[in-house]
Amino acid sequence: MIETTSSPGGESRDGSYLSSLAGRGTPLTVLTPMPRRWVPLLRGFLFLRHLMGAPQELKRMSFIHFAHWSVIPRFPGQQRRSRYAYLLFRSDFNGAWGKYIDAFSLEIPARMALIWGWSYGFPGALPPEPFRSYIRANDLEVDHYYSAYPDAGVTEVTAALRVREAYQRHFGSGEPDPSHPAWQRFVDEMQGDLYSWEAQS
Amino acid sequence: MSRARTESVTVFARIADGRAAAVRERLRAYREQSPFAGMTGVHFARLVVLEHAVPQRRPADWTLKARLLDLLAHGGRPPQPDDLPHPYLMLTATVDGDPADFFRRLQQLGPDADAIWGECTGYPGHHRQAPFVAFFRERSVRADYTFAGNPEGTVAQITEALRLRREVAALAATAPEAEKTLRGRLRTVVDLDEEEAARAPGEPVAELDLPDIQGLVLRGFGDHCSAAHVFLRITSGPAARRWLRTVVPQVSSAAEVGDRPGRALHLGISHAGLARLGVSAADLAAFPDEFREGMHAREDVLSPGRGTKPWQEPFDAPGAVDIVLLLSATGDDELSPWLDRLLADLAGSEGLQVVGRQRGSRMSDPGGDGRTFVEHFGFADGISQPRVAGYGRSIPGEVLPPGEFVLGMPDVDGDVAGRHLPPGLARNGSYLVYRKLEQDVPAFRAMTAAASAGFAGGADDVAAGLVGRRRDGELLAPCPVGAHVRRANPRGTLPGGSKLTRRHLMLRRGIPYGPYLPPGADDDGAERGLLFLAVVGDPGRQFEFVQTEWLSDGNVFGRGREEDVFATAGGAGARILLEGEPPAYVEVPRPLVTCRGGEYFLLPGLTALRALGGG
Repeated sequence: MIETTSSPGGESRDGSYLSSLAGRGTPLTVLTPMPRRWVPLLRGFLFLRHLMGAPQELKRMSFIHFAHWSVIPRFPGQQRRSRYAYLLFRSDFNGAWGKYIDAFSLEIPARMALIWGWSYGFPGALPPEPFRSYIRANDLEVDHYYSAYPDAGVTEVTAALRVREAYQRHFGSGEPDPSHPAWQRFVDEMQGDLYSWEAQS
Repeated sequence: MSRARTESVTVFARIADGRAAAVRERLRAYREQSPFAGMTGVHFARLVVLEHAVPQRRPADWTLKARLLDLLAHGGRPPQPDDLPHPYLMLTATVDGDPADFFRRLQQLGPDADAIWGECTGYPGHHRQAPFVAFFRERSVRADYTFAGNPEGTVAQITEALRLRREVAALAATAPEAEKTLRGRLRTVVDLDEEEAARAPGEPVAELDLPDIQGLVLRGFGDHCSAAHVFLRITSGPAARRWLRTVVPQVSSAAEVGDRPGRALHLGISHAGLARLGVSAADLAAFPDEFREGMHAREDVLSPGRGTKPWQEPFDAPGAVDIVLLLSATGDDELSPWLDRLLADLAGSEGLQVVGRQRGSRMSDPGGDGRTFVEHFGFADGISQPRVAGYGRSIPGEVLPPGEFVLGMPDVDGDVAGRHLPPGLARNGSYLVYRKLEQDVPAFRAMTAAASAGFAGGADDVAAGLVGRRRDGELLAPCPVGAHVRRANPRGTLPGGSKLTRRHLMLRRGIPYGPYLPPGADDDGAERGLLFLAVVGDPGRQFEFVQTEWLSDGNVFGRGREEDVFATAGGAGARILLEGEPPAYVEVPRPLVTCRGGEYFLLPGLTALRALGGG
């Protein structure tokens, strides 16, 4: 195969357990080749997952904004088909990269094998280290990245929506006012979501 | 009315031959200001210039299960060469509403859209809507499955809620309290360690080669009240190796520590030190990034906002310390003559230079029974350590496989610790995380006093709420969410439970330095703190993960950017939420703990140490 120019595929990528400081959202974009004959099976499995709804284990983790999987037998507008079909995975998550991949390996290893097991080079979901190296070697360099709320992780988004709901219940559409008779009740009720770290580091 | 439904959009637009680099160059111009920022309904978006598929390799070593799967999926055949037919510009985004609607909104980018997709074949320009939308629609790929961890909400709803939450929280934190309500005394549980004693007792335990493992890895030497650390730089490889041969017989092994020796010597070597001792480049390259780069290079991320600016000699340059000698003894009388002799040997070696020395000593609790040790902020120290499976008494605490602390042994992931390392160098070795952490005791007392109004127990209650324990070690129940002990080890309190959190524990072997400042005493200006020593099998997964993910950030605890009280640089707006009735916000105006330097060292097994000395 041709050497890539956009290759991230070195032996190691710095900071697998260091959180990104730039923003909360970190992109992961993985494109891996797989034999065409497994396309219907993998699509069927992904459709089944779609019907079953979000896995609770991952939902509880609360550090994944979104993750999308697409099976691509033919790229749009492609005339002559390539030898393999491709599995495209992209995700936006919070925190250390290594933690993110490890959680997939440790929480849902069988499902990881059902999804990536058809791709070449998949080393198994467990132990986590070889799977981490595999994903790292296939993670594509992103040339431009945008997030509408770069400072907020999934837990903060969730907290904010809870606060907004409670706020409207207590005060309707009024401006925040600590002298309002319901203010202390509102603060006591919602305090777990009212952390207020404003230092710049 | 648009529903709060998100959609995945992915577009592969073919880049005209030879223009990939130009597209990449154009995208670079949007680094500061994203074109998507002006659009509505875009949660996340990314652009990737895709020239080639990543070449695939078959794994070098894999599990039996993976091999069977490969046999099933690929008939055991390796991948054939394959590549993308053309270079593509891939747009992938998560958006509100229908993809078609997103493509129409994309037209708002105007000239920016032309700049981004102008090198793609068939791009019609942004002026006419129908061909513009058709261009994107025809090149779309659908998502077969989407996992949304984000709660339901449009971008507008989410950004509005985020703004409101921040505004309301800042008001709650800064508004003067209407009436002074006295908070009840925080409840404590007497139990020092509530964890179950052992897990999976039937698990076979790998045999530890005690005579080959340095004693410090398995024993804390609680009876050694006096310590001296000597930092060395190698000036001549051959002379340093000669010296190493003479010192190795004095290094304590784990086999000796059962006899409670009156003194102990341990020896750590940094990556720079291994290089200067003549370890081959290939062997050096096998070590993980953290160890190869050294702590100096990673401090910007480990201590956000401060980095190595406060670092002092001998750690004020990368790779400045090659070897650390850790001497400890039951008392100064035992330690001092021995230290002098070692220093004299060093002076005579002509291959090593002493670049720094550090003394440490344990402090007993002035009000205690003389057996409890405290750190400078006044808290009982060294409680709640993990235990190494197959070693020591059966005391409460998380039991971990030996590979969490000893290289070459099975670890918590079912892997072998340091599997890629040269066995002759790494077997029975451990990593030592060394950090000199200066503590500002007057600042800590001023901070807790300033926040004490409304607490029945005054400043002591504030301190206990921030730490999660009382001074004598009693745990608060329930443990406050942002408390230091919970951040340092959340146990089962995070999603995924202790199955995930136990992968990030360390054996702490620290000792305080500097004089104790009695409560009520004035600031004496003396330097004091903790020599933080931690033994781990993986400096990234264990130490760096805890430092960045659990201490320097609050996201996983549902606390946004809130930092640990002892890890933060503090400053205006740094406040920690203490939940209660009413909740309190503790301001941290200046840093309480400042790292003055540190390094990652290898504590080699004794056989490896002898090999490094040569023969």
